[in-house]
Amino acid sequence: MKIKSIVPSNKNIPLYCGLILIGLYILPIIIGFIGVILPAFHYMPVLGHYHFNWLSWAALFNTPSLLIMLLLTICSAITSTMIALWVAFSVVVLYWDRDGISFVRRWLPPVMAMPHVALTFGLLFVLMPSGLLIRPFAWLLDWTSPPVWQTVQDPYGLTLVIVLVLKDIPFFIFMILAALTQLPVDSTLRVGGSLGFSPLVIWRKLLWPQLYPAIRFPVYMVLAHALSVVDIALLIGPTNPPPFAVQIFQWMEDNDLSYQLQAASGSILLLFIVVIVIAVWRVAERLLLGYDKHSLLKGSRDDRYLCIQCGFFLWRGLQVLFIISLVCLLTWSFVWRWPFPSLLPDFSLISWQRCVSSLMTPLWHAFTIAFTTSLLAVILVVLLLELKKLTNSSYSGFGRLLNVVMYMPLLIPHISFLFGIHVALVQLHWSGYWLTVVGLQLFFVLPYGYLSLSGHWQSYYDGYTIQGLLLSQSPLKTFLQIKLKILWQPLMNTFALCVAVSVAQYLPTVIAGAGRIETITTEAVALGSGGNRRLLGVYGLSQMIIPLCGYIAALVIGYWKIQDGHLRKRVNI
Amino acid sequence: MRLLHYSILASSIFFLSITAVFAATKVAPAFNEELKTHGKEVYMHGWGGSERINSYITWAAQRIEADYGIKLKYVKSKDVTSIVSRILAEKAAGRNENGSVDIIWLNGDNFRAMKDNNLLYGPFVHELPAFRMVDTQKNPTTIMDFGTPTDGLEAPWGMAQLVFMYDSARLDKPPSNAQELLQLAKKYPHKITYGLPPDFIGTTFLKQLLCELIDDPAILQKPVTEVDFNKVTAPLWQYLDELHPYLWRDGKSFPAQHLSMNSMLDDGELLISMTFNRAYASAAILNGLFADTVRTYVHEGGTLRNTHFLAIPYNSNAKAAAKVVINFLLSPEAQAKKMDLTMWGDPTVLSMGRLSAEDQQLFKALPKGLATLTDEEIGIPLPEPHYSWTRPIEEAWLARYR
Repeated sequence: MKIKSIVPSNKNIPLYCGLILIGLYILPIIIGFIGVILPAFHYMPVLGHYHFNWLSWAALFNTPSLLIMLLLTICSAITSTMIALWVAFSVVVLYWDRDGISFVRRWLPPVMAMPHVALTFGLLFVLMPSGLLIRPFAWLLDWTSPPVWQTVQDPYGLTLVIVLVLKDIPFFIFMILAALTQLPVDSTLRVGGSLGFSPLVIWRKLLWPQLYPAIRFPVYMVLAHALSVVDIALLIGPTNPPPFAVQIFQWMEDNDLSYQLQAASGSILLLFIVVIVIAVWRVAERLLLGYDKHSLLKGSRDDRYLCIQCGFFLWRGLQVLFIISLVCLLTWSFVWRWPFPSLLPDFSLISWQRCVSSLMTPLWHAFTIAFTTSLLAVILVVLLLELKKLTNSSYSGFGRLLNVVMYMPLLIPHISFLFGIHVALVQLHWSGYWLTVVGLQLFFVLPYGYLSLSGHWQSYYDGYTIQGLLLSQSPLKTFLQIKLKILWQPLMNTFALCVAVSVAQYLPTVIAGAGRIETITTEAVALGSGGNRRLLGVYGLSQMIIPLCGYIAALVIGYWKIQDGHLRKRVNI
Repeated sequence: MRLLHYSILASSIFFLSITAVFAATKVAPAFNEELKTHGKEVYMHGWGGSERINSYITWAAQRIEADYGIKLKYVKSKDVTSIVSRILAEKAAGRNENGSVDIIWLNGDNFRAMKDNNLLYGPFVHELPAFRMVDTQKNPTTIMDFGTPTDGLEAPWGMAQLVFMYDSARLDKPPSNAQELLQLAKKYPHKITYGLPPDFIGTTFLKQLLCELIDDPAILQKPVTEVDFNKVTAPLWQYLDELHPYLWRDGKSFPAQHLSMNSMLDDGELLISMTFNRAYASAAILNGLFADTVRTYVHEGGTLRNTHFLAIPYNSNAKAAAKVVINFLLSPEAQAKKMDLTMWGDPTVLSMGRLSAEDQQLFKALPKGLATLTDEEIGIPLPEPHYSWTRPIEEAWLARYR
């Protein structure tokens, strides 16, 4: 009886609050879209185009090698997503029974903290024809100049796929682990084991079919990102022709401003491709499931160990590549000269000495922005999840709407709507301020926070809250002292993830900050165009500092607390 | 109509008074005081890919703050076009004052785009006392930016000429014209390339070849619409068809950024790299980016020359302060510092004949780089083709070789 009286009497209030928040969230997307659809149909008054027509579409379809660009984009995106998903699943499966999952959890954060631009720099240093991988051979075989191998920026985009895979695996593992908290993994494994099935068969036949629907959205996100990725593809992707998103970006940046119209049409086409690819993927999912159902029910005990084992070995290989890249990044930042065949460089502190003073302001900006954005993101996500829970009993449609809306910024290619947002921000005289940067970043950080926290929120056992309500009579107190404390660790991990995402934002920071708010990432990309490897090393490493600190802080705060002047371990359920 | 008359009257009064001020006072500080710019912040936007350029501007900002009390803030950009797009977006949004850019560093297509879209303030260049030290007759590129008259809307800041770099330890004799380059590529396959158009240097290289390969380069000064493009450029495509199979990656792929060619030259992956800064190689040797055997050369028939400029966007709200800053950057002190190899190494736009003996000494005292060509060695400057050639050349290239 008591409980009922402290639950809000009007059930519609949370719904209205939620809808208002969602409306605020969709607004920038709508504005952005208007800003790109008009020029796509040749309407751009500022350039003197006042009449709607199809000219820019005609120009778009006349682009040389358009089909190759599109194929390149689609193939690299699908390949990288499939490989990453396969490897991530293999890693989770093989580590689960070895008591290694906590180990995985431990190394996951620093790997995820690595900004992908820095990761790309590192891989370039390893894989390029004069890179670390080839130098030992050159030294042995007495080569004086690098071989004529197309190891990076290869025409098929293979190195691009490697970077995308490397970047996506940790994200998939993170998402799989979050989704698994909602599944009865251990008991399923026990029951299946008692029936004589090997763990691999149980993972494949019982857990995977439950797991996949829970990570479906993250899979689509990765797919959409791979289709529209610009920064990585610019550095390591094929150049002639480039992937389609890079081509759009180059049109936007072209000296000839009339290419803006073509870029707008291209953005719409890219969006269309994202939609088609995800739809095809979805259909393929269904077909595979239909086919799979048959084999799942056959009772075969073939555990396809080889497949999982291969995935795992691939991961081992990528791990080594990742570590060598990091070492390379570190080494180049201390290099004076490192001419081709030599294995060891002439070390020098000069790059760091020169950069240290100019690094401080961007680092400070990045830190304050990341901290504020992440804090706001976590608070908003918790608020939304609570509203979702409150409305769930009366109106389950809200939850579904929230799911769709939250993932929208990650499914829609950024370049498709950032130009429109840019114009709107300028019109409102909002661009160039610290707060605007926080606001626009929040827009992109929020979905990641939502993604990483919603699983934990769903798996939370409400009995604790009911107990708390009975004892304290205060919903707020119960929420703060019971629910938040139980979910403290995932909350901290989410915060760290948000920090990492915020620090890595390039386009939104440049657009909202009007270039005046410089962060470590905008500086790194600006210097990246200069091609000085020592500076790339310094800026790549500096880019990693803040996310890494975020993760370490999350780890410490998540596991330890200060009580009565002593450091104590938290009780984590 | 009456309003128009008033505004013309008002602006001419303003202009006259400004000119009067200059007539009376020739030194820069007075120019500053008249314009009441103390305490202003000036945001200068430009390409930020070079740490040396950035540190030069940091030096200039310190001097400007000390002398004029103006805070110069340099906003580093990945490329200049994104700045033009920003100003364009501001215009689209009706933000006609208080714009985010006060000074923009640009030239060529970006200048033309801004001029055509009325995104520039001015004319202002003739108001600058330091501009009198620029000899626009001897250096016509200081008022003719890729075939576009500057009309006083942008002030020349530095000179650029296409130069090639090679490592004398790997290559005995650099080619002295396009035909020798072709022979070199055949002798050492996969060791030569150029930036992927529309990379700035890549496109310039194509124009350079075009100038060398056709009988009458003067035709390139005409707008492209007045000539038969296919006929004029036929020798270029014929040459490239022959060259490409011997290029890096069989001529199927090209470096998207010409700057990455410098690292590849250092690695020995390429034999030749190119740049617009004749002091680049010397400075790179000083900074450990190149071996000390790297040298600079030009083709015997001359290479393309242009100038890079500073302009003020129409919606800047610190126009007066921006003028003071630009005037300082044009001063002998700033120009000599800019030309210093240990700083940036960018050649000056000032003419020695128009400087005082004392100011000339500033330039004479500069160290000469290991790999920098002298004024005599750098050869004949070729004028850039009319700007209208750029896009057709790039599009024809893409249609053929993508």
